[in-house]
Amino acid sequence: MTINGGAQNGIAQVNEVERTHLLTEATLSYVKDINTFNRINAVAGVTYENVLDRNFRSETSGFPDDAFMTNNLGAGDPTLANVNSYKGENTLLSYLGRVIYSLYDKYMITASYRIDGSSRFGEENKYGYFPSVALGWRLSDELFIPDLFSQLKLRASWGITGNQDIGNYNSIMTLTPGTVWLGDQAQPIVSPARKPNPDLKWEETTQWNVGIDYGFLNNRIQGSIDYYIKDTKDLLLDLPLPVSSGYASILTNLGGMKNSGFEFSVNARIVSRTDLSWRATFNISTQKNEVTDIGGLPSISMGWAKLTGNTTITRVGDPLNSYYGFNVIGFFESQEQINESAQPDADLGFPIIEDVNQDEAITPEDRVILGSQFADFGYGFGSILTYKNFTLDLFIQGENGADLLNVNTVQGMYPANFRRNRFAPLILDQWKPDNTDAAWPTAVNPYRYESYKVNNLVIEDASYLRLKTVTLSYLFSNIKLNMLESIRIYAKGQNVFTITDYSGYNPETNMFGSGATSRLDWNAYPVARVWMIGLDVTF
Amino acid sequence: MKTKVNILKYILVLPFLFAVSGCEDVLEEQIYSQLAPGNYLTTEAGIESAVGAVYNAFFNRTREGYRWLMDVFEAGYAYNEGGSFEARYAQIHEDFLLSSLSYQPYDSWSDFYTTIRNANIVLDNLDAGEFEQDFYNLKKAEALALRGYTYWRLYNYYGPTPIFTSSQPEEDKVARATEQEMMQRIESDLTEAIADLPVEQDDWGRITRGGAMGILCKYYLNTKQWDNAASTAQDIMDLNQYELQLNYQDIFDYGNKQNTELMVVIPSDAVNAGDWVIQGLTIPNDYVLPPGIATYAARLYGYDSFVDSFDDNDTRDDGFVLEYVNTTGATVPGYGVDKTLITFKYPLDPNGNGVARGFDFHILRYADILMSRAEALNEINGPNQESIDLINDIRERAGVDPFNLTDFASKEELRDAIFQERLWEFFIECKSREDMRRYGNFISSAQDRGKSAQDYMELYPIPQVEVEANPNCEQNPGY
Repeated sequence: MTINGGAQNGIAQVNEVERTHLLTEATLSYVKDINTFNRINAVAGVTYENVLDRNFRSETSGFPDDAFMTNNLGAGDPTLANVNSYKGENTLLSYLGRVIYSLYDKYMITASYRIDGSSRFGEENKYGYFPSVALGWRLSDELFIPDLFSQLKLRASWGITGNQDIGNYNSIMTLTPGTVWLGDQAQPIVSPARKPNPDLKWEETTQWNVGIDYGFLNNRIQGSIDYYIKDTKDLLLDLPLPVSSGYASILTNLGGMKNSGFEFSVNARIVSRTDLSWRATFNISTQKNEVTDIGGLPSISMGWAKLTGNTTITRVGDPLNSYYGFNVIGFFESQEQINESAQPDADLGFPIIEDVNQDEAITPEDRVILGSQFADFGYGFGSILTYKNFTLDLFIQGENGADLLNVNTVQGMYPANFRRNRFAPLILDQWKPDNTDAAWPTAVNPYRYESYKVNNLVIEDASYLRLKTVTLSYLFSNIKLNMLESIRIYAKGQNVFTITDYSGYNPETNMFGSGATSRLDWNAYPVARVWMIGLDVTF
Repeated sequence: MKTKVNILKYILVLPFLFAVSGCEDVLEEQIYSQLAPGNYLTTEAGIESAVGAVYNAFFNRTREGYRWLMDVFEAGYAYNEGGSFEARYAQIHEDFLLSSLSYQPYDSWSDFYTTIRNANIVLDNLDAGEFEQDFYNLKKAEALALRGYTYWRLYNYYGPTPIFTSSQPEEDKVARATEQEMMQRIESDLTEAIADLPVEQDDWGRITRGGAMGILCKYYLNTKQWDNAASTAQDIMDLNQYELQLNYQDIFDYGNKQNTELMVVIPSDAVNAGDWVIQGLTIPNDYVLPPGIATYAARLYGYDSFVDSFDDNDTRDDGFVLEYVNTTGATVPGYGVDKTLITFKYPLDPNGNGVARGFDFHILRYADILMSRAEALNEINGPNQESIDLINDIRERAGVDPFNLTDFASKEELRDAIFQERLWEFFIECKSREDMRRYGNFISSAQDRGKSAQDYMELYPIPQVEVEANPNCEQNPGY
């Protein structure tokens, strides 16, 4: 029971969320074999997509009894009732055309062109224009390629894609209604919902890709290798505005960034005999992110979180939304050390902040980039081993080089008050005169150094390797029992183990979702380790 | 069967119809749960709603409640224990550890500039539309009064700050105003508003002529424009609109909420627009409360020295709880261990709803105007009978012996008495910071308490997010 709920004789709330997604596609296709060597396949079409969101929420309090739960809001005090509803809509209208031409089934060219219109953009910028061209050359059909290659195909492509993954109504001014308590009554008010940006338009990514699909030994080993460069311009960024302007931010198309990397995958049938077979797959991809332009601004600070303030910075030449904060280079061990430092008011065991600009004071100017939210590379490994009727199937996944800001650590280092629950290591291994090689600063009066909340101690390497699934199964085949064909029994584990130095529950976590400017771990739910035994029966 | 096929056909044809007709309307955003400004803010109802939004930003009860408690911590007559704002707010302000990354400077900056933005929306739309003159004058005056007050609060906290007089400024990275520009803005907004504001408003909580004059008077006083402060105070007295309540407790009595001593308030209502800070964050949660009323973990404790400072006959400390029997029947000591509960100056709201109370924030009451005139006259002429009489009005109501002119040999002596009297009269009313800065002991008294306060901390830091988004806005020195 909460303080509020207890005092108000129960608060019940019912929330109803409804989404209607309408998709209409009309396409015409034209397939023509001009002769045995020349083939054309053309498609033209129009698609219409509409998403309608509605929700309804009602809440009341002052119940005679808890028994009603949320099943009878009418039993609460009607004067305390609170009702809201919402409706919002967005629409996409697209025209598309694509032509595939193939010659001798060896040389292929695909050209496509899309015009996408989104209701989310400004009056003049609703439509984005997205061409693409792809070339393919089936080398394995050429005589000069040795028979060792059962498959060899060279690919190259260029194309532009658009992003409209933003909220509705950002290009227009709307007024949010509300109430104010004036003259002993609630009177209606309206205030602007946002600073509108009538020039809002599609974010565009130009992607170059070259790749090879390969297969050896009758495709016993096959896979692909790719290299890509993605140049994104007119990034959809929620650009912070001076708070004095009355608005915290404006959604803007600004600047550009570049992503590039290799992708490699291999899939091998290592053993394939009647009694014993082993197949394995492996893939790895690298990624390099670099901001190329931020519209002439020196930097953009973002990623605001309630307990930490801004957590990231975007600068040309660095990865997008890099973690930005203070660098702790040790803990104070003596009063002389404090007196000579840029933090003369510090106490023993306080973190020593690097005085980057050497002005003998620790100010926000001393912040540096502390880490990147982008992984250097990610990989996956899968294996299926079958011996007679037994099968062992496993999948491993991992990522390397991404950092993660652990807000739980921030709360542990800087508790709202000293009685707060927090993670034990911060207390057990804190700096004390008899524990000077501690991992954490003193936990005595941490509020006195709390201006330095975003620092290298709370940003951790979130590299990990995880056994995602492992399954051992046994198949009873040849069952001669009426309709019963086979029975498979299995034991399966999910998230069996994770190898990581990350101190939180889950190095993969991102509490604000993948589109957030700052990747944060904040009271994230741990991933569950699941053990299952099961039975599959086939008739 | 036939119909089904037909429907399918139409569905398939639909996109082509858009394609052929080039129907742009399909992508027009439809607004359902909000309003479009164009046709709404041209009506009187629209303008009223926009004015309501100015009040709403000004009436941020949670943040205002925080500011009132920070004022207590910075003055150092009471302190906080517990609660989630202990380390984030209370200790930072008690110990003078503010930085540009702290919460309070950001919260206030953001509230104040939201109020200013909303006021500018009213002013711009009033000028753009066609309205009856009386309506135009009144709404303009309300918006200007709140904007002027808000610029004064900004100036009071941060020194001169960027000035916006339009809701659609050509440039949003505005440099800080000069002292002179800032003061002119505050004075002209308030003066212009006073000319058109009525002496009485139908709605409790709307700004009145007397309220705006009171704000201007306090601005003059805090900027040490003594003549203006004295004459504005006199003008307010001449309105014959306000009077002191007979007893100190009457000012805060829930049965007497809209009394004639109050000039500017943030009106509250426990159910509809409650405050949960002033009592929700100050009373220990083992204190026996009436049913339906709750409190959070934070507590506000007064120092013994503060309790001792009151005269035995003074009724202004009658609400102090020196010890209490808690929910488990144990007696909890307060006075003697620096833990007197001082918020009971504000009685418990009989209609309290959980942690929310219908606590009206008294931004300005008439007693302050009398004390302001007394202070200004002393600064101009030194000890004088009129100042003494004004102070005695306050003292006599509180039940303490009146002063005699002969008690004070110098301007400084009377000044000391005035500031002491102000603390007794206005504790937990968000006056201490500005009073102590005016008196000149804001930093030195903190240093005397052993805090690491330094001279530059007279002003709050500009919030870091502002400085980062607006390179033209220079940080206050020292931060």
